[in-house]
Amino acid sequence: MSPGKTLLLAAGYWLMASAGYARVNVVTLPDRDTVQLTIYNSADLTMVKETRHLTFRKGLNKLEFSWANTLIDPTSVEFHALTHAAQVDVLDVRFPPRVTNTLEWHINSEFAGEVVCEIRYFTSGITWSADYVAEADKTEKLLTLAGNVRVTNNSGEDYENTQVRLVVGVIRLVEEIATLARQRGQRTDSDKIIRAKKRKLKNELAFLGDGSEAERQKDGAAAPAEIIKEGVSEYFLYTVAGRDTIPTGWSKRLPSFQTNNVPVTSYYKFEKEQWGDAAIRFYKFKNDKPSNLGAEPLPDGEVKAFRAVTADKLWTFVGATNVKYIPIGEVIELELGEDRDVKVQPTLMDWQKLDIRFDEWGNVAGWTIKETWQFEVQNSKDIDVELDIRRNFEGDWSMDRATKFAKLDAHKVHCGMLLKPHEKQTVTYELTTRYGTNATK
Amino acid sequence: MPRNNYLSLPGRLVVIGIAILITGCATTPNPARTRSAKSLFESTAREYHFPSAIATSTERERLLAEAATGYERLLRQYPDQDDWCAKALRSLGNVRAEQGKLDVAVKLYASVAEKYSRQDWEVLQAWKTAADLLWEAGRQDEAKKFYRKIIARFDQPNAAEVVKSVVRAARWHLATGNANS
Repeated sequence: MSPGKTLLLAAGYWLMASAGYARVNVVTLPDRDTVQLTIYNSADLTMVKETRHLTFRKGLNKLEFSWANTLIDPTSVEFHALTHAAQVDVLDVRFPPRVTNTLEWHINSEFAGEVVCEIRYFTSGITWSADYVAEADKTEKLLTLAGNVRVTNNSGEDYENTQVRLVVGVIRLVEEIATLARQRGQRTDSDKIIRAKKRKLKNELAFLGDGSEAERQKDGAAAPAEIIKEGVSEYFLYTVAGRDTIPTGWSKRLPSFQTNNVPVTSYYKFEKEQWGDAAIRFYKFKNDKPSNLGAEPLPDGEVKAFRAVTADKLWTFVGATNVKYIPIGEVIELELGEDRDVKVQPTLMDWQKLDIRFDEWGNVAGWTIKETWQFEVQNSKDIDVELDIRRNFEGDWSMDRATKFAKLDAHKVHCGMLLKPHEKQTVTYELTTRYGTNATK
Repeated sequence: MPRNNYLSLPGRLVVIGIAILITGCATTPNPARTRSAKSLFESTAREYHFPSAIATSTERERLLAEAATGYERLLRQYPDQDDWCAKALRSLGNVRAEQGKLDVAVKLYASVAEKYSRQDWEVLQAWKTAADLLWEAGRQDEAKKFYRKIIARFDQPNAAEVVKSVVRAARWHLATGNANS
């Protein structure tokens, strides 16, 4: 039996024990309404907010919550009445002996009828990762960028009809919790401090985004997938629109946004020291408003790039790469790998050893090497291609003044070229390098 | 002639070695043993303790007995696993309570704090369950001892909401002479 099935079996026993209610049991039937997950990857910490419409009777009501076979932190569990809050009061929390890992709220209600309640807690075992699909048009001038979020649930608990919120960036408090968790066993007070910090974190973040929550709930799952940004200090909180069920042991990929008409620059780089003999293709675009982006930073993740090759949008795979967290206003450069349709062939045309100098004992003390290089460049594509050829040199070197290569720094030169479809071009340079006593720098 | 109370160099090295060994054993977590203890606890709860909640008559008695055996085995085999031992000891108390052995259960609940005092959450649950069971059994004076312990240890301004609720209820019990349920 797999661990997942084991957990489900155990949960099943408890479901039967609690008269068929999903983990929360009251004297009247509770409807599990919505669940919201706020996932902090760095500390393996997820805040869960469940809302339920519970029907209370006047007087004492009992409500059970079990965390058996889950990764829920029971010390973080909180109950709040969102409606009729002044009339609903938690009198006691008990731990019934008939089963393990269950608490029972004793709730006094001065109101008889439906009350919207919220149960909040932390769990571990839920992670997320982002990925993107970039689709360039045939001319590679415009891009459609789609973002997705993959949520993996190994928490031991199924989350139905769930809204997912992601924390992108760094929360100092979460980092402290992660550090303390790693130090468990080395510090006797680490668990206490972790619990205190978790409480602080929960209080700080619990109500973020609640203003728009009600409106999103109205739209329900039919709402178009988009990310709503809520900037809080040094991190960003995304809400993935729409809802989905994420059972334990499952991984679900949720669409988060799609942006059309993102201006993109497609260009190639040739630099033997970095990529060998291949010309490498790059897509470059900016995370800003003029590019139809810039509403929020983009989380790190894998980008798969495609290009339309026919008018009816037959796509060809261009390449895949990983991008790091991209702040608003930053340029994104996607390194997409070799493209055999753009070729660069360097050839050494001439080599001379000149100006040989000897010391007083007749040994060679200085000399100069003159090389002539020719680059044959071919664009076999149907579109214009921008190419940047880069060369790296060491020592006392100089180039002939007539060359198209320009100096980038003390050791690097480059030559930018624009090639028309199916065009061949040739570019040369003459390099003089002085050695030994000939070197002047 | 004065007696030499100091150990010889080899003796001292042996003592230092043993001390290092003991300290090392005490502080170095053993993930394999933790996994085994966790597995034993979870299988005991899953196979016997949970089903006992819905079983009846002799089947219920059999399941509770099996659950008790599982928890006792964990306590015997993994005494170094404080976290899982505390859970097992409290769960054993729960089993005894369900078997109608209230006094045995209360002793087991009390021993959670004595043996595993660092396991705050387990201590809180054990004391609270003991107190509530005693209260419901009409043994208010004994129950109040546990409520007082709860307040003394867990009444802190930055305590978790669930802990605050338990402390609040403990105060209420101390202030009244009747059970609230």
